[in-house]
Amino acid sequence: MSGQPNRLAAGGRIDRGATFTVRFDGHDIAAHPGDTLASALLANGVRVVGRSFKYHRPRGVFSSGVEEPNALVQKHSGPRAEPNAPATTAEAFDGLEAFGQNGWPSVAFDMGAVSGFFSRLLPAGFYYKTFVGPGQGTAFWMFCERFIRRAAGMGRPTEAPDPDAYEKVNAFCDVLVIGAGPAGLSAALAAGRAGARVMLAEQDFVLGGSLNDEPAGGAGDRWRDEVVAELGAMANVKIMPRTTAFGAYDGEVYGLIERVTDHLAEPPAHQPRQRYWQVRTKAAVMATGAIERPLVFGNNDLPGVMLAGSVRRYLNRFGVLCGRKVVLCTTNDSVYPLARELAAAGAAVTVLDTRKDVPIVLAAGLNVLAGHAAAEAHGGKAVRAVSIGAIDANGHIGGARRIDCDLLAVSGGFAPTLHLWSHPGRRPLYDAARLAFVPDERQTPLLKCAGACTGDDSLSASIDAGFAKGAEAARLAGQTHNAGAAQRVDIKETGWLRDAGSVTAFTGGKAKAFVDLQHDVKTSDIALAHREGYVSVEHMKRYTTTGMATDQGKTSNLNALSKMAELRGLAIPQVGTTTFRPPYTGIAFGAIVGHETGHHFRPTRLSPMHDWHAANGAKFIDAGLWERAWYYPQAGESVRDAYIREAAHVRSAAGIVDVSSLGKIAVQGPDAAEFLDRVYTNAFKSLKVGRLRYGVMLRDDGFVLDDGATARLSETEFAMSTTTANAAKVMSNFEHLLQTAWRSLKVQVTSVSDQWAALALAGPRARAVLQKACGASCDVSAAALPNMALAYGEIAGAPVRIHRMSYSGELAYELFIPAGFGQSVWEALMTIGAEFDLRPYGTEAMGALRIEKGHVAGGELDGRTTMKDLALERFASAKKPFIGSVLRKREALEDTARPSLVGLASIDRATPLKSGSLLFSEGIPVAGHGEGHVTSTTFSPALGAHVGLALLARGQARVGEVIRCVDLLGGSTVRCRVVAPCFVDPEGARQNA
Amino acid sequence: MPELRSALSSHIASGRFGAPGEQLVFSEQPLGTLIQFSGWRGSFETAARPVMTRLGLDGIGAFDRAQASDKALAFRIAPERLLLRLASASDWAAIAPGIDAAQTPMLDLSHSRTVLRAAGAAARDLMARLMPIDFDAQAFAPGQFVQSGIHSTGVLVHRAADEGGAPVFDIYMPRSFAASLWDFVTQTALPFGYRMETEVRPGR
Repeated sequence: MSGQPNRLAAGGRIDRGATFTVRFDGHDIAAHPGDTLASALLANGVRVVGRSFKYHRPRGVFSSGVEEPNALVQKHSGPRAEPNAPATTAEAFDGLEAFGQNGWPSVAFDMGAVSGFFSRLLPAGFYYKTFVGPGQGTAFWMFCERFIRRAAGMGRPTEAPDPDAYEKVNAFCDVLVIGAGPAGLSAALAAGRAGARVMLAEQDFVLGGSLNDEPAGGAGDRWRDEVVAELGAMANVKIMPRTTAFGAYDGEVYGLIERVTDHLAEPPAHQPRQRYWQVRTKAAVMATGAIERPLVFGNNDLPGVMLAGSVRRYLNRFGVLCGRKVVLCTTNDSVYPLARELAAAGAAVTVLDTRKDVPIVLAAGLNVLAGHAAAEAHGGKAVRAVSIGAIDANGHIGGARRIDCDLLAVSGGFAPTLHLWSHPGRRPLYDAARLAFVPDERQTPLLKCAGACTGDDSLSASIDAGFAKGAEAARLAGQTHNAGAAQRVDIKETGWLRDAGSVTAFTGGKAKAFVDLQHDVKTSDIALAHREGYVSVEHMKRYTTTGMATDQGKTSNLNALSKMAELRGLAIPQVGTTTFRPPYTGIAFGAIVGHETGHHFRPTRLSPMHDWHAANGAKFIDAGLWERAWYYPQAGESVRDAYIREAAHVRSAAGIVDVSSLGKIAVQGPDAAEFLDRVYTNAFKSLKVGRLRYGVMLRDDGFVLDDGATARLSETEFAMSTTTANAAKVMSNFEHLLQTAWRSLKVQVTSVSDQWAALALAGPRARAVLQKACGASCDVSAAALPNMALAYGEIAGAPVRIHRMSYSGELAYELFIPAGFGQSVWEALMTIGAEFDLRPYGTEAMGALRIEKGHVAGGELDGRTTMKDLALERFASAKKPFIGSVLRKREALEDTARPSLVGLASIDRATPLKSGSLLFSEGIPVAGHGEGHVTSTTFSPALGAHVGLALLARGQARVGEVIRCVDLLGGSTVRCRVVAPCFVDPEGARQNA
Repeated sequence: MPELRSALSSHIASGRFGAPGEQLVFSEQPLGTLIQFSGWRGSFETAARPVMTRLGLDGIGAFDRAQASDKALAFRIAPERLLLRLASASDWAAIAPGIDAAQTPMLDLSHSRTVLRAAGAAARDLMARLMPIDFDAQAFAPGQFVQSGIHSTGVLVHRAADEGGAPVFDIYMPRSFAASLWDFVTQTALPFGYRMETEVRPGR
């Protein structure tokens, strides 16, 4: 076909009736539906598709699947750019654009190739050597680090926001079948017929697995189509192509990624690009096949050196003849069908078989050199010739001769794909007869394995095993309908295990022989690791980086283990394996995140009055999950201007603030008072109905946990408030105690944070506003509603519970309103309050007011302070035990030298203090951790000066002293006077009015 | 009486959204009166029985299946804790005075939840994208309920009676999270296409 020099005129499973264009490095490439990017590149004669990681050697397509170590491309450009995408699994579509990586200005001509001249200086672990010199210390390493870091990595991610959506789905099934090759299709058929809910996941975009490597139109295709048709007709079977099972986890949980629209230029509107399935199954069948093992010899990384099984796939599935002068180098029987098919397609074929005896039935009609192997491939940007010769028992080739070729296809046998099986930390068994590690089903009663992933090399055995395992999995899931019998397929089989050779590395060439293609790890690097003592498989892996690239050693692990075993004089199983961890193939962060990004990174909580705040110009701030009104700026105001104005207005007139985010807990039951006595440091049994009390809670270890006010609504019911930050923690602790240590207490605790809107009215005019709002429904006079008492009223027709208590230090009331009426009541108060100049204030002003009063909050309640530190000892009852009562008396916590709560006043009044600043006496060096730190700061409108709260060693004894607040990060020092923490109205006359 | 504002009032708008086709319909259901009724091991079942009988219900029920009568819908949310959703506040007002609150505390939670209804052919597929629960027709039949989480927020999901052969799920979410969760749920629904109803429909 014109323009596609390597595309055969017929054959394959592509749709030749349609042709479209993909682009690679700016060049148009013709392709057909059914192609991958790799098959299209090979069909169009593109040999160099990438450059190797370290040495920038030219690299071509090596395989046809997820194991690809070389053909890693960037798909797309702009915000959809995706680096390190294997071209071998990228479905070709009209308009697909891809770029070679790691080459400048291009992979075809790469300036970076000069690094190959310095390869002797860049063996495995070369950068470790820079840690120890030359010279003193780490100076040399720090010099080299810049360059090494710039050269490290493969591919460049985009920093643009991802324009696509992703989904996460939870799925439940009876049997999950992983892999839709012959074993997997057979397993799904058995399980489906047995009545199980089946999910069948296949990473490829077509089903059939190795059946698609056979010439098209044969018995394999017919078998596949019949089975897929039967599966498709079963309502209890879900077939999922383009879906990779990337992880296996405890409890029979599997992670799958479905590439929903990756094969389209853009997802249709509202559709996701990818979908992450978290599957919980009762049983699973792993039919993940096997990956061909490469051979190791000189220059085995040249473009045109490929896995033989992949060459067969390109021939029979994609109709691509990868070479015309083909040398097949093999240790086993699997290449012989390929040899005949290549010859039938017009190629000249030579087979190098490492075994001395090759059966006539295999070799008949072919040019077979028994007992021979490849010593070294030759060529620049593509293979042109190979040196071959007879091999001895150790794989050494002497007296090699050169023969021309343009394709060198290699096969060292097949390694079962057992990564998923290993993910939960299982170690596979080494099967010497199969020359591979295999899964051990005794360790996984609910995970069955079938087909090539168990080391089977027979198609009929795979189908039978798949069927049996599928039926067994269905039985384990409780589905027992008769599944019938497996359907056989009439294909002439050539298994690979018969008399397979075990030597896969050949010496005799002078050129570099690669074990790990993606990380440029050579056999000499393995030997170097061995010489330097990194002989365990874990050390060898990390020292040489073999197996650590994006392919996770799919084509390198076994050869690396084999080399180390040879060096150490051990058998392979004695060297062991490293641990396979998810993901099996690279997955996009977007798929894991799904919708939980942007404003949905976490849920947001809104007050019942949120809409009013937004409509009235409030700026918001995050307080945990809550969005709270921070300040209400008037024209041109900064946050500082606004909070100073708002706080001053509260002290002079009246303010209203939304405190709906406070934790609210209903404590009910005959033992409710006893419960509160245990959790609070002060007594609550004595609290009268209709009264409230401030309380402090400690942790078991004696440190302060939280504080708040609790109201007694009846003999057996209390309404507790907690801080916003600790609401969930306190509630969780209560439930834990009632279900474990205090099961005998008859107490119910319930979060009612969402039931109630809450607001505070504060300021000299607060009572007037409230009385007018309540009208005759409630008497809020000083006599009727004294400090720390509660009453019930009605505002704008809504029931309201009124607590007289103050956080700001002004005359104040907290109102609790059923949430659905919250905004109506707020609006009514604003309307009624206009007469008294009632204005809203936000959390910034609220903070300024409480700091002026010396009330502790988050900066002081940081989990490291005691009641004694915070001058709250007067709230600790001496008459009853409470949580933390014993351990708060530990010697270290009673030490008078501990930092304790003080106020700080900026000496020059105008210089602000910085929270977190360390405190130092005057005249001593600024070193170490100082004598305490600043916990909260504000500009005090009442004082017209900058003030703060702090924890200072022996603080209460140092009132009047001048100290330094040192901000080490910002590089500033502020001189302050130590004062009592309450700056405004210490006698409480205003709040007690 | 003041205006009763929904937590979703400024966030939802009626109309069709998302992909073509209308595989989902969302609506906010009126919560009505929601009462938590609780007690303690060894005595709750006996103490609750007469109350449940007056509501037309049989005992305290199971942990995964709601009980329904023309007066109430009951969820047993903990061994000694029931959530009662009543169509009429007067039904509860008639019962409550006869209950010993010290032994079986009651708590009015009528403002604490927003109920979002998701109905339609794709309702199960939607729920599978929100919660790690098996919503298959056989595993989660009409009448069943579950307490789990959506977007890290504790919710109760009740499968109400099918409408027109399509599944219906009522999601009880804490009021303060409602706007955020509604946005999250409807974003998840975009690939299916949905219609949003703003008229509050009575329903159970």
